[in-house]
Amino acid sequence: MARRIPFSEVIDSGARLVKGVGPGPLAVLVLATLPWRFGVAALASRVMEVGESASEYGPHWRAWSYELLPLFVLALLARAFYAHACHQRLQQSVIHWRSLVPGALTVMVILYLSFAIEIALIISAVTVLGWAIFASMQAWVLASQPAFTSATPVAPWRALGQGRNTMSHVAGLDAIFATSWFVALVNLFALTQMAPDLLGAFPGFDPGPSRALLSIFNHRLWFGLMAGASMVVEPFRLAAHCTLFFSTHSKSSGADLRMRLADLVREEAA
Amino acid sequence: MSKGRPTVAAARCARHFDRAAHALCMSCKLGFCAECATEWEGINYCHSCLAQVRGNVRADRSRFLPLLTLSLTVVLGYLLTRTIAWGAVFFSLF
Repeated sequence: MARRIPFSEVIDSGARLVKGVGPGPLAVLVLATLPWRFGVAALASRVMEVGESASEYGPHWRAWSYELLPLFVLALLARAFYAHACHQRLQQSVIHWRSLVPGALTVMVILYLSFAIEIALIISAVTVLGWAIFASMQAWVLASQPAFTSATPVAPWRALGQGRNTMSHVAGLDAIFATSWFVALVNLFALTQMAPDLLGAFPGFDPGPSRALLSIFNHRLWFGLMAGASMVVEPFRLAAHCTLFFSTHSKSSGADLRMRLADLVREEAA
Repeated sequence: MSKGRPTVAAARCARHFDRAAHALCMSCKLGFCAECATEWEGINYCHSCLAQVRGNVRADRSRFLPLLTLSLTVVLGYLLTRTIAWGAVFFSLF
């Protein structure tokens, strides 16, 4: 039976991978996912404002959804780009920017799977468990992109299903990242509460107006902080998923032997 | 040996100049050491060419199935916009 890699090892390797990938792909990921994250936060706060009369504003929500779809696609492409950079780095190769751009068919497969999973995620969001399952699957799609070798409607699902033995591992990993998301949220909240007092030390800065905006009862602040916490955790989560995928698939692809050979050559050269 | 034919004999690794070439990448035609070359489906590639080969999902011989996937993607994209709008109304009840 294959040895299960401890979560601590996956998370440590993921954190090292984020550093190894470098600031370029990280900047692409952050900048491209920012509009989607804060767009969803803005929609959620709008829904809160409208409340129970939301059903009377059908065209308004449809307009929101047409604006959010391109932002979602942009965020997906950036995540695919970053996951590709993680896989290249894991193969111990130099990252070439040109080769990071995914092919048209890869993009189509990622969009096809992600759209279906996102629909399931929204429908099942009311059951927190369903939301958690589909959110994990969404990240796993991007980490599994080297397994997608065919653009037929069934093959990508089959490739995704090959990792079903590791799905419990993926869920455990995401439980840890859910905790770290909460910690990031608390830290960001503490920062926003301290910011007016810290900035008040500068002469001429009046912290008064910002206090209402940063009030604990302001739902816009909370949705914004949730989006911010997701963006903080996302690179580490994506890198950890890629590490997990690589470690579980390296035996079947022979990558473990190639890396061992590389280590031996390096030891011999030293 | 015929002139112009790529050869690995006496060649050096394109990445590690202190090492002898072990294999020839069949895509970029450069020599690579054992660490840098990888055999994929019986053909040697360097890491970056292999990433390109494996990174691109192949189109099946039948054009119909990828076109079906593309159509499904467009339909799912439309359904996603409707689901977002529906979700906004549904979650306002909570």
